Amino acid sequence: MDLAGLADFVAALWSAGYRVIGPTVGDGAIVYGEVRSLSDLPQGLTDQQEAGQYRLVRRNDDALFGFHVGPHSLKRLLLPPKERLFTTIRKGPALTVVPEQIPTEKIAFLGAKACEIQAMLTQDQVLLGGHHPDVQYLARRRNLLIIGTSCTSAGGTCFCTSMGSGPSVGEGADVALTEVISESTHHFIVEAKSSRGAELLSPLRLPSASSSEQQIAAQQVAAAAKQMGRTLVTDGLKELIAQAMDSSHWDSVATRCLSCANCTLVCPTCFCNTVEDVTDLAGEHSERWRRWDSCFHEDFSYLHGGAVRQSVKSRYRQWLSHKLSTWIDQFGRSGCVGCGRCITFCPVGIDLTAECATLQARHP
Amino acid sequence: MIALAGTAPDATDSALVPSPYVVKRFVCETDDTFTLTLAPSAGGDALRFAPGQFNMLYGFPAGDVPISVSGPTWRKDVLIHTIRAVGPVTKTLAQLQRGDSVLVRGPFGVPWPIANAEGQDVLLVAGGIGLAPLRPVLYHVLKHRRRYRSLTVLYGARTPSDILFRQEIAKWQARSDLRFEVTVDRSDASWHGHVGVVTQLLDRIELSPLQTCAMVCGPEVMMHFTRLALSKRGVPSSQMYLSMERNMKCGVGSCGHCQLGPFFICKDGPVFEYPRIASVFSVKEL
Amino acid sequence: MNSDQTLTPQMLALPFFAGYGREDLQILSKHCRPVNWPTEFEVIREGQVATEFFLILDGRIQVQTSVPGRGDVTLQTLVRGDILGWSWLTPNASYSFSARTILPASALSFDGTALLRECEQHPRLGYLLMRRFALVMSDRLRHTRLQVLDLYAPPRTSGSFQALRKR
Repeated sequence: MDLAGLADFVAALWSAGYRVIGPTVGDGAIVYGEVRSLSDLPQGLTDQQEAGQYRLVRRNDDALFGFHVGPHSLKRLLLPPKERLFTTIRKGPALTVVPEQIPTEKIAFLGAKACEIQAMLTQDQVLLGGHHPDVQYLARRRNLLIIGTSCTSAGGTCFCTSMGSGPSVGEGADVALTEVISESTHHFIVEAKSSRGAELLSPLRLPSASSSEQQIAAQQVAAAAKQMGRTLVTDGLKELIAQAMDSSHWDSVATRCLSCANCTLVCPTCFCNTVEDVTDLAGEHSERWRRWDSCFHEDFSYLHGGAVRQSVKSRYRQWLSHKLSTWIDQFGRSGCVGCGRCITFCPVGIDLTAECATLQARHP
Repeated sequence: MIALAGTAPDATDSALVPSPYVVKRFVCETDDTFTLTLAPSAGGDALRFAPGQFNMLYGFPAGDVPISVSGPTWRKDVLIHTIRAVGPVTKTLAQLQRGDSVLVRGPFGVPWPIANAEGQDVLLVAGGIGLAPLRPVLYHVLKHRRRYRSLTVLYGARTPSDILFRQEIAKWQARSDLRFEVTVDRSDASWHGHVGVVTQLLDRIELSPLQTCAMVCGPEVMMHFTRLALSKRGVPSSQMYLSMERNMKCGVGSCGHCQLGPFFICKDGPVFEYPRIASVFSVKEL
Repeated sequence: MNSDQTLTPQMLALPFFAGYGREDLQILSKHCRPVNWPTEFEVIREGQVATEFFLILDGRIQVQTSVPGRGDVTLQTLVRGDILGWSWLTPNASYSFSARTILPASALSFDGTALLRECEQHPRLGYLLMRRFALVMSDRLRHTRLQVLDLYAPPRTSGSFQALRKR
């Protein structure tokens, strides 16, 4: 598929009733917004990332998906930062509860990286895997079409290969793209990953990719796998963290951690949320809103009279041990997909991979 | 991968959306504790529950809190909750009058092991408001008395005036098919019963450790020392059940607040067989 | 008196008598006598010279102290198997608290002064007796510490005037 083909595909998605969301440029970063045409995509841009550093820079080509990950993730679409759950109306002593409507908007997400899709599947387990599936999430999830893009380069804080979640787009996508650029060509290897994806692709009558084109694309993805900016040794890590609850290393992290919650807000799997009730002055109408919360907030663990986790040390330990250890107990997989956002967007550059390496060195 | 197919999501199915209930009865138990009897506003049966499960009670417009059911399981028409007024929501609930509305969602959580305990001696150890979540077990065992061997309740309260369900306790104490001991941490001149912590009662009762199923509910430190005292008496830790508490908000394991190590207290608990939580029980600030 | 008369098998089955040899038990029995108290009987009084201790056999006894304005405050309740009094262990001691029956009670009263002399003569008995009392004291201390924790107290309300000023 060439660029014109991709433009046709985007147009076809809109006319099929999908609102197309994808990477756009905003506030000096790659953020997710509406994609009406290819010109909305961050053409020729990439992101340079290091611990505590993020910067957009120009690439030496015109790649549309030549970035890695930014501050946004799919959870913004599926589990919005703020959403109303129900409204309560009081008439005399009687209360009436009006549940929020089930969302019906169809969204096509263009340009989801492999780690993003894995993060979405990780959140699916939390919100849909129990006895009480979250109906709002389920509705949004069913209405979400995913067009993934495999990475052909890795960012400075990426470690998806350590977590087995990239760089190649796998399950969870409806369509997978691999962007291939050379001096002579700029095209996409397209693969339908679901029946819904196949249905949308078939009217485009795309030519089939030659085996050499497929091979080149595969080589570029394989090359990205070798460029990871970070590594996390996961062998025995779950058990090590579970046994290192009293390690003095948590004190060391606590001297640097600001407990600002940035890591949890940018993390694509962090799902913790809270509710707040907003009432009108007459006290006759109250709305219950759900919003993102963070285990780094002191009142997160509030229990009649005080917080259970009062020290920053205990809160960092909670976050890291949940992400990399107890998440596996709960859901059979790690809560980390190796996207590196928590490293990049930490204002003091705390690096989860480095903290784990220190723990591993201290408690061999 | 979680399958997305199946019936279309329905807003009224959400475990996060409550149903209105009406206050049928308001009983003051102590200075700070009261019991609410609630019936569905729409009529019909109340939510079914098992002893040890909790509901999220919403005091309009302050918000909701997890409260264990304290009534008997066979009352199908109402839900009974005993609540201590300590925070903004429970203080809102404390101001309710007969005929007022409350929003309820639930029931949530793993119940007490009433089926496992059949054929065994049942030992209930309660501290403070911890008696309320154990009361449905007591009702159940008394109703199906022949399925169980001995029944002992040890209850520790702060002061004589903090003792819950006084009249009911007097009736239970008059029965010959259970032993109900009450102790207070601090006495006053009117009190002629036991003074001392509840673990002290435990040291003094006769028990057949291998045939005892112990269910413990109270502050974490009280449960910790009760467990030690039970161990000392030879009760296997696999026959001790504790009801844990963390900040439960959603009730279904999706808000993350009530995590204790690998557990979501709201859905993996609140009742745990002790060996399951042994490794996380005494970790500070977990 | 000898052990056959004073110490019945039911008494000897109490944990207090566990671990002693026959000779030890004979000495113990020589210095104890059974006592019976009616309700509201003051067994010991705060400040009295402490020469005795009691092994409770039946009934219920309250350990109390007198607090001006609050009357007699009960600190602990003792029942069968419990020990009342350990002040006799220290020289020239007096009882720190009073004890009063709340139900008719019976006990074995031990002559602490005589037993201390026996312990000097029979170090093995002395050692066992001291270990027994160490256990009684550690149990009592643990329970008291838990009482001090005041676990069922209402949670501290935040945002007091003082707390606001510190911020």
